[in-house]
Amino acid sequence: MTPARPLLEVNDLKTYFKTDEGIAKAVDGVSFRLDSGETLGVVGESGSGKSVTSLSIMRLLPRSGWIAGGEILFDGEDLSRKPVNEMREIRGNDIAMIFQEPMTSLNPVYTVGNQISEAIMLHQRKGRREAMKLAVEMLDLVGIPEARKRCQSYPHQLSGGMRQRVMIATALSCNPKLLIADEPTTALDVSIQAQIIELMKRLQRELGMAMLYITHDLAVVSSLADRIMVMYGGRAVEVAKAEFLYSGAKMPYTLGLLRSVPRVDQAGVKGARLRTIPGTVPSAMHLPSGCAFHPRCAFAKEICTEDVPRLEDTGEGHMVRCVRWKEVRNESNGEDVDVVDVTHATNRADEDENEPGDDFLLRLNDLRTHFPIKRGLLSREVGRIRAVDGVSIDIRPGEVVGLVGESGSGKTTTGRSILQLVDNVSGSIKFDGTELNELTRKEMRPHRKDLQIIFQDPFSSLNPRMTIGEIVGEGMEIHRIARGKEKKERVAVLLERVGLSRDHLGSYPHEFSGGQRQRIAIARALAVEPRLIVADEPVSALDVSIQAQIINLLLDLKEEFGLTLLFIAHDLGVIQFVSDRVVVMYLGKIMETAPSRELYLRPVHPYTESLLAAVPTLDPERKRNVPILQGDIPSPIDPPSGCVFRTRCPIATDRCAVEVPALESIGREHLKACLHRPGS
Amino acid sequence: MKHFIIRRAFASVIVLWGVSTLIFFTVHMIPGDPARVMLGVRATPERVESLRESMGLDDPLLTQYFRFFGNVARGDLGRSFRTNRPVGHEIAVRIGPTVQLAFAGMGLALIIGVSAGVLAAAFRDTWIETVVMMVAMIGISVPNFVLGMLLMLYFSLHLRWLPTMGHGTWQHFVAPVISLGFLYSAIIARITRSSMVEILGMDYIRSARAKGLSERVVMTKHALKNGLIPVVTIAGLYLAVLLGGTVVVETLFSWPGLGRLAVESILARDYPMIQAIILVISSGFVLINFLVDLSYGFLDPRIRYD
Amino acid sequence: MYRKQWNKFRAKKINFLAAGFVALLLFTALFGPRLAPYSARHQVPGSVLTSPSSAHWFGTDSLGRDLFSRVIHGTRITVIMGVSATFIAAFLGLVQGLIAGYYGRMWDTVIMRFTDILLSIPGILLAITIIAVLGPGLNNVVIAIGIGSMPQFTRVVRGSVLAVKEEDYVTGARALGQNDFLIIVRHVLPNIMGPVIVLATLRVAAAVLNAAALSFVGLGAQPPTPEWGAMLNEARRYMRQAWWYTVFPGGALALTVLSINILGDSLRDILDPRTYY
Repeated sequence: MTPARPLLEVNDLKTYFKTDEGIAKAVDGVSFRLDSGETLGVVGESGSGKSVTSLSIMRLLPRSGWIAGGEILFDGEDLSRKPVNEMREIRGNDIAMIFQEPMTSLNPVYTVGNQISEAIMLHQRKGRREAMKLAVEMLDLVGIPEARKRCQSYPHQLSGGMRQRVMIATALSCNPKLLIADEPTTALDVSIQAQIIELMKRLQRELGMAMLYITHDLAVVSSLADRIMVMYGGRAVEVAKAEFLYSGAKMPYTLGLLRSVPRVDQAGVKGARLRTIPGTVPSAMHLPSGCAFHPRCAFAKEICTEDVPRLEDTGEGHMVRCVRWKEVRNESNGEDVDVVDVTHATNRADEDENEPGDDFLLRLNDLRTHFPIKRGLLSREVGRIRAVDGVSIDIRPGEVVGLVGESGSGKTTTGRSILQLVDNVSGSIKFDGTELNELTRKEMRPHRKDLQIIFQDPFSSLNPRMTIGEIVGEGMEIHRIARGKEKKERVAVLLERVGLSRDHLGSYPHEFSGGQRQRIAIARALAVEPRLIVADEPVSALDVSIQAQIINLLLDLKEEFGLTLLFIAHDLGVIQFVSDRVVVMYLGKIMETAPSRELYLRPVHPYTESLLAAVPTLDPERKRNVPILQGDIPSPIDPPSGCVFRTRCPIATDRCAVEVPALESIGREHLKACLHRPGS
Repeated sequence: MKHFIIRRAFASVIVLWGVSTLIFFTVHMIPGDPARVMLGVRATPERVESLRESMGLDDPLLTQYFRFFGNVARGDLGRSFRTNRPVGHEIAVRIGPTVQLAFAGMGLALIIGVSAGVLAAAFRDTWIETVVMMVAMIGISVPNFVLGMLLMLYFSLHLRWLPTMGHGTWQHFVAPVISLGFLYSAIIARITRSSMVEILGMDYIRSARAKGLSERVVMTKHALKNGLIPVVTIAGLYLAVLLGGTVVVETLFSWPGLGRLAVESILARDYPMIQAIILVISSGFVLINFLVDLSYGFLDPRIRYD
Repeated sequence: MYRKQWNKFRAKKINFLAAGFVALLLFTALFGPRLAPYSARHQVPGSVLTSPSSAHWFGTDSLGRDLFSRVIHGTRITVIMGVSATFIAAFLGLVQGLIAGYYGRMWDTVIMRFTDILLSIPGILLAITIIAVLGPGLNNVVIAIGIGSMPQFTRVVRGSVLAVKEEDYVTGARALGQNDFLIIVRHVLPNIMGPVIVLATLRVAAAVLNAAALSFVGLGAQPPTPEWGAMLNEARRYMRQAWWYTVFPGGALALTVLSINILGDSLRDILDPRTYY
């Protein structure tokens, strides 16, 4: 029973930006409708125009942007032509919005209560005291404990998750008819993300407002939205009911996107590779002609390059912007199946009949990295950040070990400690028999050839003042592997191997996209012929379609060069896909470690269990029946006594507060640190 | 906050100690014999020697250093070579006019600078911003003594509205205060503008707009308080600079202040006086910086609750 | 690669004016003395304090010297003082800031405390103190102003080094086993030069201004040197009779500082848009 008039109807919206290089068509003809009480999920990669669409509705575009055409009908009124002062009466009142960055979205100099009550006083014409009372109620509603007290807090006294709750409380304080959520959980940890998603579901149920939920993560909207709109290159390319999209996507881009996400059930499948979408995400400055996706599309024909396809209704409100959608359906049939049939696949570790050998490339024993916090003129030590607090891992040659954890888990510091890139490391780091932690800086230098690192941020990892040739060749020079012509040739070969061209030797990093930069960073690491590579969140800054390319590249190179990988990530799906063995960390300690597939099938530690449950999954049937973790991650400056996880653990007892659980073996290569599991 | 105050106070004392040590050794590096300078070239070696002894100049440098600190702690800054009177007295007389000039100049600069800066930020990319920023650019570029001379040429000599020099009536203030105030208005206007522009690009400003707040409330409530933090720093810094930096304007307008005293003392090689003036002005600087740090606590809760 | 920067520069017409004036300044500093109609000290008989005319464009001074020629001769002094003082400051500041920022710990504490102390003596007063030690004169003014603006470079360099040090490419170079010297030269220095160049430009303007101010109060260039500040000091006594005596050297000084500042500002917009000082 759809009402005659939708709450929001966007018709052929065009939003352009003025840039140094010309006009960027960030949104180029988007149309959709949203009924009262409905949730529409908007999914897209960077530059798809999803955020700009939401900012256009709110008329909160940056100075350089403007609405160049189309209409935004809200309750029958066109917002795109409304005078600014009338628009103000709608903002925060009829339409409210929450943003991606909870850390910076609240004004640091005013209390939380002040900022929530502001909108109430403005739109509901309430006095300060009454507004404050309402603010407390709102904080209560969004699940902030001790709401009255919290009203007096300043934003910096709250965690990221709490701040996002405050933002939600502010947005909902005037009972909006429409809530726009622009990537509200992207900056949050998985367990906190699960809390916020749960909260938003509950609030929508209770308050019945319509919601426009914008995200890059298909899995996140799968549980939230009634309908999903997929955007690419400033246009909607597919709109469908949520349940149809996962099983019956019709647009090649959506199909590719769905397949390039590593699925948890692919954990530990040997030789598996992700399906990828080739090429790079286009910028709004240089959109391809015709269908913007055609240069990356396996089904593209001549016709796709000519006219922009219409958004065509294929029945039951499932709309697709593809001229060849019928053929696509036939051609892609059967291709959906992965390389290996997962249910019958063997575990990678299971393949060796024998017990895994004791030949280790890297052995960490009781690794501890505590950063002193210094204060005052005399630099007194007033505390310590226990970033890594007693970690022991053994890695075999040729193995891929995944290190997973939320913020504060110490996973990044562990990687940097191994490479001796941070100070204050204690414990033992034995690499191929050499104790790295006892070497001086100078003695360490020749060993650096064997251990390399790939970083998360592709924009910070390449020196902007050096050419690609210089960047990749630097290591060869240092370790006297090659020089002059030979060096140049080797660098060129490497560039080609990572999927770039030798013509790029003289280019500078700013000429490349994020994914390409990550390829360069991989080439730099490979240039010194290392034996172990620490990959520190190498794909988390990349778009989903690019992620898959880089993951496949790393796995291929690993095979080809016989590398050993320590793969660090916060994304359990990615980690389980790439790793032979997974180490789960929490607050500087190992909670559980097990072969990838074993961890997925038989998690033992309550933390692993809830982490697995918190990962949004594409397949609604695969939902686990495990309660989501409550509360915030404690600070590594002052971790809980006993078991560090006990403050959030559903099965914690008094014993957990006093006893530190040891990491015990409970099966082949399966270790856990919990006093209570498995049920002994 | 209490810890913050104590920490800052302690840091201030350390800086003050550093400054006085630096000045002590710098002044003792000055070539020539102070006793000789005091007595003039024609004095007999015996007289010079006896004066050296009575001034303690023959003692080891460290002894002199500790004696200097003891004296400073007791409020004894030494005697002027030129007049042989305690330098403290002379400074006490001269400090008043300088402080008046500095505060008047900074007051004017704050009023004009902050409003011009906010205006420019609010009307970004319009002619208002262009004009404000152009005037501010001229303000930081025209040397204050050149501006002072031009004011003197036109208002004092041509129109005869203002006195050319001296200190006494309010008319005497007009030209020196404008000469100083124009420069610092310009500096503050530039800082205010860029700070406001930066703040206006923050996520929380977008949040405030998303609530439907009017541009005036966004500007005055959400942006200004944050935007003022760097302005307060700069204003404090330059107030301190003004305490010592009125040198040129004081010389031009024959203003009986500390700056002119400093120049006169250098030309007369009156070292105890120079030493004392720098010490006094640096103390003022450190004190103002301390107050600026404290004011952060009021502007920024992140510091208050540290 | 520099097209973006060029577009930004081109967007403001005033940048061309300023750049043109600075070019004229440099040209005058190089060739001016040869082109000036009179020498700086030539006293034209019978023309004391004559107002501007076709013979003497800027008029003559109290000793009958041609002011136009003296202003032109002064350009070289001004340019040399501004540039060399800034060079001293930038060099010392760069060394200190690199050490403090890159090596940290004790080095950082010692250098930054020293910088704090220097910064707590107002610049012109610090310069005056140094002149007290070295004695008045042009060279000493250059040294005094150089040391006076050194702490600003130290601060900016240290801040930029700390930021660049956190970049992954520096960590990456360490992971490759690159030595500290080459990390500084290849990875740190090129990436902090933007802010340093901007600051240097703005400090040249400040140095020109302060050098003139010191000469004006009698601590810098001494008569009969044709330095603009010193000329203005002489002009004070004849303000009633000769407005041109004040206006032309003063105007030259103001325009010089103005055009360098405008150039520095647009350089900052281009190279280092996030900082303000």
